[in-house]
Amino acid sequence: MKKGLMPIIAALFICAASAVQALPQNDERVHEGVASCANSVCHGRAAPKDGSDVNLNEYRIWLKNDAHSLAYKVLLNDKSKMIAANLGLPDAHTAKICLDCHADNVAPEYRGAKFQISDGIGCESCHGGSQNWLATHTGKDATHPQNLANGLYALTDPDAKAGLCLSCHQGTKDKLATHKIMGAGHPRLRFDMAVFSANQPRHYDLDADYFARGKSELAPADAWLSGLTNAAIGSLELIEDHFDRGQVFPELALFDCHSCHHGMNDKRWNANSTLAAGSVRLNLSQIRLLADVIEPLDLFSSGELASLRDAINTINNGSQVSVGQVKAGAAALTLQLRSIKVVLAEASLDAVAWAAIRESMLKQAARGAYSDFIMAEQMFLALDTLNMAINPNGTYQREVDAIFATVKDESHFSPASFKQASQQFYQRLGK
Amino acid sequence: MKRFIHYLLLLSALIAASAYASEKAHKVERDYEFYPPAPAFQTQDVADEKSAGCMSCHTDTDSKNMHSNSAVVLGCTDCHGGNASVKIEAGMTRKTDGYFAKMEQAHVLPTLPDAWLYPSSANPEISYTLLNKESPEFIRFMNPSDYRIVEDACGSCHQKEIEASKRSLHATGAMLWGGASYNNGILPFKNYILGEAYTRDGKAAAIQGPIKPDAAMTEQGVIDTLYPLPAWETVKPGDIFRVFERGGRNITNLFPETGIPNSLGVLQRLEEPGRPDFRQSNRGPGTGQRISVPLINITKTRLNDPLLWFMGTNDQPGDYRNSGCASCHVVYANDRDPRHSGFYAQHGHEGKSISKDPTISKTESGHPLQHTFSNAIPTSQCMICHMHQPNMFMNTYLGYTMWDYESDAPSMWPEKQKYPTEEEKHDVYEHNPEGAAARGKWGDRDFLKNVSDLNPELKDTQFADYHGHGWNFRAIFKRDRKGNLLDAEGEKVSDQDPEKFDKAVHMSSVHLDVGMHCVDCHFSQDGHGNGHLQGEVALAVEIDCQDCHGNADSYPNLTTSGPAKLENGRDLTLLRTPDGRKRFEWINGKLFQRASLDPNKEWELSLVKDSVTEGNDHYNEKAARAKLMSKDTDNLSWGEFVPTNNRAHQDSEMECYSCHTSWTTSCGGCHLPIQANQKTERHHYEGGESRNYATYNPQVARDQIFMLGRRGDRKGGKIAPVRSTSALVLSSTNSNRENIYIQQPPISSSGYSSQAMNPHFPHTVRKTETKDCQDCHVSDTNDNNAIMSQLLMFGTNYINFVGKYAWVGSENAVNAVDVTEWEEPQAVRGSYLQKYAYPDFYQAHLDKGGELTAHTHSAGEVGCLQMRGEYLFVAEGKEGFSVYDIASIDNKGVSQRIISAPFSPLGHDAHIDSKDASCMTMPSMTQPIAYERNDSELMRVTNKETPMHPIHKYAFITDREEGLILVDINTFADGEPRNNQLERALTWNPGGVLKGANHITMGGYYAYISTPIGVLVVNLNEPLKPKLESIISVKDARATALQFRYLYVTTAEGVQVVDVTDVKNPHLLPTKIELADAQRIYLARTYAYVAAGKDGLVILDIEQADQPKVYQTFNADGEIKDARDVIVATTNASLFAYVADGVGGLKVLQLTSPDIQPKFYGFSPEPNPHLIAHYQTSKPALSLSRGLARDRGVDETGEQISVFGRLGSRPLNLEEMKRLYLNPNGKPWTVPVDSSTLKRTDGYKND
Repeated sequence: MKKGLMPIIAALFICAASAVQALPQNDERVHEGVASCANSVCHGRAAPKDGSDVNLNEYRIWLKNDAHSLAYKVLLNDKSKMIAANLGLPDAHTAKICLDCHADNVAPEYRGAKFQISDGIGCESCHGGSQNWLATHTGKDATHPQNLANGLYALTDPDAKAGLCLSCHQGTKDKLATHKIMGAGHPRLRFDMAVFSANQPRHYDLDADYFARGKSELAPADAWLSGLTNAAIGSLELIEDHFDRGQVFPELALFDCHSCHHGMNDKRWNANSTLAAGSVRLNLSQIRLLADVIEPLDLFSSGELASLRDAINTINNGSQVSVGQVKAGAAALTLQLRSIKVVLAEASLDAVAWAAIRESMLKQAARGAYSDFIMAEQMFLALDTLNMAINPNGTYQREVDAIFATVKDESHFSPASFKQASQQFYQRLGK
Repeated sequence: MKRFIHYLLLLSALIAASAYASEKAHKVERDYEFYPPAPAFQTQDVADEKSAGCMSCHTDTDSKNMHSNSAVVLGCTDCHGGNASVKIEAGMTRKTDGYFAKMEQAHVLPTLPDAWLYPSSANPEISYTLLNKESPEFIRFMNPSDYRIVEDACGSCHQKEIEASKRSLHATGAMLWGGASYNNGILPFKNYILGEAYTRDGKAAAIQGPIKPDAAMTEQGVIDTLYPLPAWETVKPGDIFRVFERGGRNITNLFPETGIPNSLGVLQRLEEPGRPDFRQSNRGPGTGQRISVPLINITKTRLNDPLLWFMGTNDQPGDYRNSGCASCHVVYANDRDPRHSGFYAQHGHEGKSISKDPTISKTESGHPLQHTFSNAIPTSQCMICHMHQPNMFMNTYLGYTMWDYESDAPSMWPEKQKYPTEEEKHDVYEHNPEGAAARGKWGDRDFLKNVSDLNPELKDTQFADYHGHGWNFRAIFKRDRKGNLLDAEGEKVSDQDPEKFDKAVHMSSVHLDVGMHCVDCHFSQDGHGNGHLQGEVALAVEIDCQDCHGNADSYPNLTTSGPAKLENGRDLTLLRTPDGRKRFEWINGKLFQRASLDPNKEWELSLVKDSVTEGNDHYNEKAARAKLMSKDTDNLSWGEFVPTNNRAHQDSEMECYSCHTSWTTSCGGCHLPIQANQKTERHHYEGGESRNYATYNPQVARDQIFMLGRRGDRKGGKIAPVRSTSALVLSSTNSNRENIYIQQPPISSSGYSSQAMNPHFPHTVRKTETKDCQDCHVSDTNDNNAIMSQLLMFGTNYINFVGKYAWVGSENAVNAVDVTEWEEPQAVRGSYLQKYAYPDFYQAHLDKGGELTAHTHSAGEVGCLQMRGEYLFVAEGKEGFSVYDIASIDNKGVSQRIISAPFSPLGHDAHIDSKDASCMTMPSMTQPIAYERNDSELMRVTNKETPMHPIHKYAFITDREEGLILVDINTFADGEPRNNQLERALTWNPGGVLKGANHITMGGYYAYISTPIGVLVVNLNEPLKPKLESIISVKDARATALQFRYLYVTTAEGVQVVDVTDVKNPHLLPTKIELADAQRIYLARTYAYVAAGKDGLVILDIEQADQPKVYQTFNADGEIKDARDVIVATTNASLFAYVADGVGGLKVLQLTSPDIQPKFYGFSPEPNPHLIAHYQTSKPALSLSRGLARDRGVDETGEQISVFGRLGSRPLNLEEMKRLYLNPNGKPWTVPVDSSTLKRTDGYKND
């Protein structure tokens, strides 16, 4: 644990029950490398092993189907070379700034004999350095808690998992896809815990022996909400860590890209916005969505809800005033979100609740509140997960697909089309 | 008890000397504790406890768990057994009293301590079956991965690999026993049934597949059960040699022994002078010395030894290894060449350790480099076994082949001739079973290991740095057909250039050149097997060229597609190199492979699709031309427009390496002489000694023979390169040192000759030195007739084998002229090789003026004679046609060595009266065959043998008065002399057209009969219904010789050439070599040798076969006075001519040798004749028996002659051959010598 004070305080604040683990990249344990796992006797089988509590073909799934295995290779392509050149870097695949998220970029002293940086986001990028658990985790009676005690990264803990994913897919104090990086050519980031987890794809089965080993995993909708909450808090931490660069412009990556990046004839401002026309808007999409999500739940008082919206307005308005007001707003909002997170974590939401959330989001979308692309996109991702949780048989899939059609191309996003598709869905719900 | 053991051990340490004879080793009774198997999992603390005591002495090791993965938690005793609680006290050293006792308490001790040279822990030399006699407990202690006990140490994690490995060819060796037994007529099963396996306690075991193969699996070559190889003495021989025949004399109660005939010589004295040797005891075949020599060779020499059930022999560089998993996964220092050994090369080649373990000797040979498993297995480790002939000879990959005793002979033979005693020979043979080694310097192991240090001084070749089995391997360099050394650009390198071997291209595989080791292609499954029992090497391989290189239409999918692939093949992208990198990776459209051994090495793969795509950086027009060539042979149009099914070289029809092969090794034969009274150990199964032994003597290993045939259906039935696969000739010397038969080729189980051939992947892929158009198709300058003859497997009469006796027909006798040494190497008397191998004998030969000796038998006027097996077939003028029994030709116990009636003439008549028999021939010519063996359901259906043409039943005799006579000679191949009653099957002379017939040549079922009116072409497809196809009118045709499309005729005018491309419409070419008295003619590759009467020997350059030119006229300074017949043959690396010199008798000429023709390794170097020996016949010498054709697998009408060693494989049939040079209308088409003149087009040129 050598991170700054903030995470420790945060930890005390929100999850007193579980100690916060250092992210795998900083776990100060030897990462033995993918090859240590990939042996055909271990996790490198071609097909799942019958009668085993672990399929043992995890390596194959990662290598063949999981984009994380390509993270490093991307750095070798022409686009990455261009980005590196634009940033004045000799190579993308040797630059720390790139490797921090495109590979398991642990310090040299923590790289084992078979460690290959070229494996990209490999086993230990997520499961943590295996130095202390490699030898013990193979035991027939080895339990998940024992493995955790030996340093396995706690991916079964929703916050730990979210923290890990977001560390690259959103950013941390130490690593961030800055406006400079994006300006050099890096694509915009986006994230939704549930959708991204489903697309990873999963390399384990949630079966009886999985749980018997002391593991757990949130259902997709719960995972989505956990991810959204963590992302919401994370986005504020980024503002605190990065907003003030001591330069004329604050860190622009913290703003909604499309508030500037759209065609000159494509006017995006509308009257629903609390900001004046022409304002550059911070990327508060996760928080704004969260506010609409929790509104229909019977978990928060109207005062709490109003206070949350006030806080969002405060930071939004503050962004037009001063760095200080943004940071102050972020701090205040963070505190509110943490308490919301505690409540949400303890709540057990059911299909009725998910339906209410869906309706709330669609209601906002239908009235044009999500005219910003990032809001529309985030809402769609949420809707996709929730719809499946509410209607596993596929009801309303056509409506979901219709909304997807309006957000799949961000360059040609039409707020009106999105609004219309949302209205149709909302009406189909009988509203 | 303990005290006693200790005493014994000390004693054994004192007397430890020769370790081979485990028989003699004293057995110590031991009471072992139970050592439990290694667990799949344990905590480090538990494991540490199992190492605690061990580490008190061993203190450090290279890898505690042998694995490079800390997920494996093992203590010492988990694998090795033993007692880890025994510790030495602090301060104790090896020199302290009690240290040794502690060690013995902790260690597991052998029951045969002196055999193991206990307390040394080095692998003993030549241990062979010692492992079968030792206790499982000690074996586990010494090598926990030995197959007998491997389950204990490795089974909890690797049971699957263990079971597969034990069933793999690497362990069973099924292809060796199967191929050897089938090709040499010992067992009739082409779905092989023999394989090596043992039980935990070292007993021979049958081994079964994991499931019973169904019909489809069987069809794919999956074997149900492999049985142990029987002891050689108890196997019925397949050979049909005279000594196996019934009859002769035997004394029932004095002939009971196996393998020891005539012990004390008692029986021999009972034999009457002048009678043939008695044959077998009343117990039938397999008794006495009447066993199959190949079988004794398998069990007693190092021919195929040892496989993975045994340790390496640990006696020479290239022999150091352990058994079981450790055979491959524990690396030993074997070779100092980094191309062969990778980073291990720096550690020498003497099997010495670099272990951190202080107790392991660093100066003693026989220790692994380190105590660690490795998947970074260097090629040098594979080459411990894969340097063997036959079947799996992989020296080619490294660019080496077997040395032939001739190149750089002055450096390799002692200046003074050696006269090794029997004991000295025996000592050498234990390490190296080549008979010649006992006379050469390399029989001395200290000399041997430094042979490659001689390279800078050598003139003829360069040697490799590994010497498994005591052998030397010579490098192959790029040469043109004449033998000129060539550099990378194809420019000639002078033979005198001191840097010639640096400038000339060393023909190692391009894969080796980029840094690849065997394990960079052959991944775990190819090493371990796919779990099923297999019999054929190529069937057991899952990788295929296309898996990594793709084809002209698509990029590789990196999934295995070879015959041994399971389900849909292995996804190669999942593989990792031992250092952890992805083995294969596509990066930005390029495919990279990472090296197994060198963590810093990777290479880009050549992708076939890129090479044929215009505009691509890797575009290669030659590659594109070859791959996109159409079947439009008239225009040779090529380009992308050609649909796949109209391409000339389709992937579905031919193996990639049919073209992507720079050279192939062809071992044109091996001599296995069994000798009685050589008490030696068996190397397999129960071990034990018996009193017979056979050395192993490669005779002609050539590197410039390229032949094509077809693989069996199991492997796709594609066209593939074929090699001669170590055909055997066998000899037997009994306890009275009588050679009861010599140099006999056995007959295969299918009845085809045992001059075995085998489709194979030569592993000599190179980028530039690939096959070119004119290597397989007729060139437009028509300069490759000999190449085509070689390619199609008609043979080139160049590596033919004339053995110890050259058979000369004279006006009144048949003469067996003794032309070579009997000892190995069997050098021709007066030759270059004799000069170096036998300097004293050579001098003696010179001293008597080069005169040879002979055995003779009176006969008529011998116009033609041919030795085939143990019989000599003779056309003897007015005396008709006779078959002589020559089995005893070298038997000093037989007074009349050439026999017309081996027993009562009442029961045997090997003679046909005819009015004036002028000549004779047989379609298989020199190769013994057995027609009836071929004709059974087993052969036709199960073994998928092609039917033998009925023409092979007969001898064809020309008679000047009677015409053509056919005689059924089948009975000479059935082992039953009493039915050898020769009768005419046919006499044919319609209208007297054959009057004066004086010579016959067979080209398949077409006979070319020379008569005064010309050459008659007779179709004998139905042998008893001959059909005269045509008459080629020439003036007084005397003799003919055939090479692919051309028939050479000697006539009253000289030498004339007939184009027989369309044999039914032959046409005489205008070209003519005028000679006053042309007699017989012999074609050997690009030279024709004409016996030109008084002019001596006229050598014609026939490279352009339709335009022969006189190359040289040679009469040895007038010594050759009346040349009547000539043959050419190869002994070791040199070419010889034998001339029947009328009044002068036999003349032996050396045509090439390292000192008279430095280009002797070429396909057809220029001959430089020197007279080296002669024999004066009493009456004029007229004719010569041709040498055994070792490169002839099929005849000119596409009928198979020699055995193909794998099920379903065969030579090309006539239709397939014709496609290579005839268009659908039967007209020849040609390819340009410079194929780059063929330009890419967008459509067919004739469109």
